[in-house]
Amino acid sequence: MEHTTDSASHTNRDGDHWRAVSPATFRWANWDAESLLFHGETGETHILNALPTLILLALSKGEMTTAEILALCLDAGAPSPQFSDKIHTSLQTLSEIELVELAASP
Amino acid sequence: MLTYRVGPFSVRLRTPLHDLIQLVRWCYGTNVDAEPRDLALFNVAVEKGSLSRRLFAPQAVFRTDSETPFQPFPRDHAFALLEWGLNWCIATRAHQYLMLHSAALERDGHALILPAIPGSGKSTLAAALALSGWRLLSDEFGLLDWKTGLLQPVPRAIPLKNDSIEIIRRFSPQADLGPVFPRTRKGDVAHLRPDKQALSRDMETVRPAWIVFPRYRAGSSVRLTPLPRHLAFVRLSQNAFNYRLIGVAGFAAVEHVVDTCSCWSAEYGGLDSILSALDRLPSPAP
Repeated sequence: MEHTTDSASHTNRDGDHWRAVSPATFRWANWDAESLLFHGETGETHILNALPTLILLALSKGEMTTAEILALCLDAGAPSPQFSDKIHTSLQTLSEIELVELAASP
Repeated sequence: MLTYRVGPFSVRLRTPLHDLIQLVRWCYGTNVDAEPRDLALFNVAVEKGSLSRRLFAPQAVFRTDSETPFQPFPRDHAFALLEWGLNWCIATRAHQYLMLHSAALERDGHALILPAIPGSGKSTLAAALALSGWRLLSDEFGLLDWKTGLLQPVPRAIPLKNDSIEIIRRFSPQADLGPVFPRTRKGDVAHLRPDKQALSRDMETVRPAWIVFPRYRAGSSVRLTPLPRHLAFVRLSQNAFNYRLIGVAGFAAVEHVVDTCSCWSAEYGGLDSILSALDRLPSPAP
């Protein structure tokens, strides 16, 4: 069980394309602001807070650039452009636990 | 050869140790020599140890099929060895269930799950509940059928350790305790025999209603605190023996049981107060 938050710092390029890894094998359980995700690809269960959950749900529907993910989060009520650091960190963390990966640019 | 049932399992025991046979008959009563069940049959043996040890320090060896999972025990600990051996059989083979490391008891058709965490006092609490009108489903394994969401009873002896032995003797004069096995690897151990009701109703599955994570703290007054469901999920999945092994079925089973039960953490310093608090748990909606 891994707990993923948006607290670390990391940078990547806004033009990077991201995709979820085998989203068809995701199974979600949601309570309050916390989500639990079973990833059939790795057999791991993750506990996720709101931001990585939002990102993963979006990427489960298709590839997005970092800039598109940021725009989505701002639309969803993220507080400010400085929020982009948190997006980058979440993407990096989700990548490290094999829930998302960089896709080849179209 | 002795055959007896423990819940959905049958045990076929070979042993030359007459004291052990007597204790199995004492503990499992009417379920000894009962018709075996098809679901799983454990062929086990408790044998005498090597010839060279028999004179000064006789030993007992637990075997199942061709495996010998444990080092030999002193021979007069053979019953404790057999019980731990059966734990091993169930934990390594019963993957048709999500196996929670927990006690489980039933009241008015609803099941209470008491997951084991260090310091929880799970067995002592389970024994006290079983002596207070709750039906013992299990002390060691919460066998959750992940297809139906129901708990499968597997009523067996409750191993009480060290101070818990005297605590339960004082708690209830009706406590039917076996001999004390001194200085086992878990300290002094004595077994509380499951009562007739628990044994005879061992195929009556029960829907879980409450999950309570107990923690014993000497001198503490009782306090039950609602536990957020995502935390209950994390704690329960980490507590299961085979959660990772059964994959998404385990995730779905934990999600379902957490979703349908009321989840609590409990701190307590005495049996009477925690029993009273558990008796007042809100009944689930019909």
